[in-house]
Amino acid sequence: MMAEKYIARSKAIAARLVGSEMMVMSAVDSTFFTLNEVASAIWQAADGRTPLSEIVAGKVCKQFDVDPEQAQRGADRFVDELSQHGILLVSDQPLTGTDSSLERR
Amino acid sequence: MSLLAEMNQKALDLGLPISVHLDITYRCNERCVHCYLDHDDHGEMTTAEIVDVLEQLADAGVFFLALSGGEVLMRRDFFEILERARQLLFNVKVKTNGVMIRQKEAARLRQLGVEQIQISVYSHRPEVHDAITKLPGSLKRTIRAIQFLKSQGLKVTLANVLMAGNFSDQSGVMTLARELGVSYTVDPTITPKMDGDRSILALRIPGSELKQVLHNQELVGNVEQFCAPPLAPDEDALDGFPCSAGHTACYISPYGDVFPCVQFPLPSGNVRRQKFLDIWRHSTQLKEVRSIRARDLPTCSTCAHVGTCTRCPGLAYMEGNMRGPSTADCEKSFQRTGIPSANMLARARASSAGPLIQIRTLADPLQNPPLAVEETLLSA
Repeated sequence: MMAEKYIARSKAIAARLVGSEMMVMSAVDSTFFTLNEVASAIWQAADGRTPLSEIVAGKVCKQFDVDPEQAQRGADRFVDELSQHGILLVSDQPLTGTDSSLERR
Repeated sequence: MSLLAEMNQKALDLGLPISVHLDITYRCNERCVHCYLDHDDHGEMTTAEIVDVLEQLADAGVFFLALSGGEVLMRRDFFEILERARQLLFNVKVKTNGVMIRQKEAARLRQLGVEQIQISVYSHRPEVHDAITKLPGSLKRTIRAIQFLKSQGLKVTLANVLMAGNFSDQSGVMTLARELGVSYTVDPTITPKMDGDRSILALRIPGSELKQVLHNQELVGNVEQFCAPPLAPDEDALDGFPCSAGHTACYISPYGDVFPCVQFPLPSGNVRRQKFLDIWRHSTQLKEVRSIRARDLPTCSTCAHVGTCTRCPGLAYMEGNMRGPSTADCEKSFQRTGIPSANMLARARASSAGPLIQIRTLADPLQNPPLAVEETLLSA
């Protein structure tokens, strides 16, 4: 069985919802991303405490009517890419103190 | 289209203010000769008021936030404001003269994840820079600040405003930026004071020097392309609007006044009396600004440069008509391409046509040679 993943938004980013898409920019390297509705849902649920599998099941599959395996693969790719830029923090343990001061708007 | 341009277009389509310039104070420790501000404090917003505005801006969809002044560090609560801005996930650019930035302040800016710091430098020579800022030792302190900021890994842009008094030092400032490892940007625009006083426009560089700037490959890239004669404007150009002012961007003063842009002092509301979104959505002034298209401009719509001109509606407004030409931009278009603007041609025609109304005395040429009385009532 694969280890559970926990994801949290980095503090070193700027982010804002524009319509249904989330704009995210790294304050470290100015990499700029836009996240579609599904990716935005994962992003907004990335509180460091909820396992990724639970986010996928609760936020992605339910809200967007996606096949669970396909959704998990997409979520893994998304997390890998954003974590490479330090925009998402990933751990096999719950992440604390990473997200508490950030506000989603 | 880049991803950023796509998001700008999306913000425009959705009517979102994606970018706001917020001056948190007009107070300053420098007294730059070209500054357009009144540095006295006439009742700045409190910390709580600014925090409330920041929260409203975040809710309204603002992503890019420029914090500026005056000198931002003249406010003792600057870092409190900045911290709240970053908690609200703005992409923050700070404009400062750097004089009050030491290692501690630089480290705090880094810790808070500021995207970019823009610092004004007028010359690489202290005697020139300090004469412009009227603060002895200011260049030395500003350079030290840049070094502190760089040591923290922050992105710094050195902004070089060009005037008649420092034009000859432009390449020296660019070399300084290179040596310091920071970006460089140059701006030959001097704007009237916010109270309408136009006396500081005398500091503008003359046309011949402006031409040198606009033909400098290091500043503009491909000179041939940049200075090419304008193509005939297409429908898209005529249906276009000049800039983001009032469309996806606006400016808020330390007193809560909202304007389309820092360079466009058209009062459009005040966040002390109204919610920001109410101003953004319902201000008659902002609606008017948004309604203007290039084809609606009486003079500029007929100009060869209409598709490529950097016409600033704020500068036009300060000249008396937001639909009129901005003569500073006419001059830029002319110096860039060698082709006079429609406004320049109209002015030339008017001045060569002589007085519009004349009264001449009917005198006997033999008794009163030559005609000595000619009174002009109204000149064009």
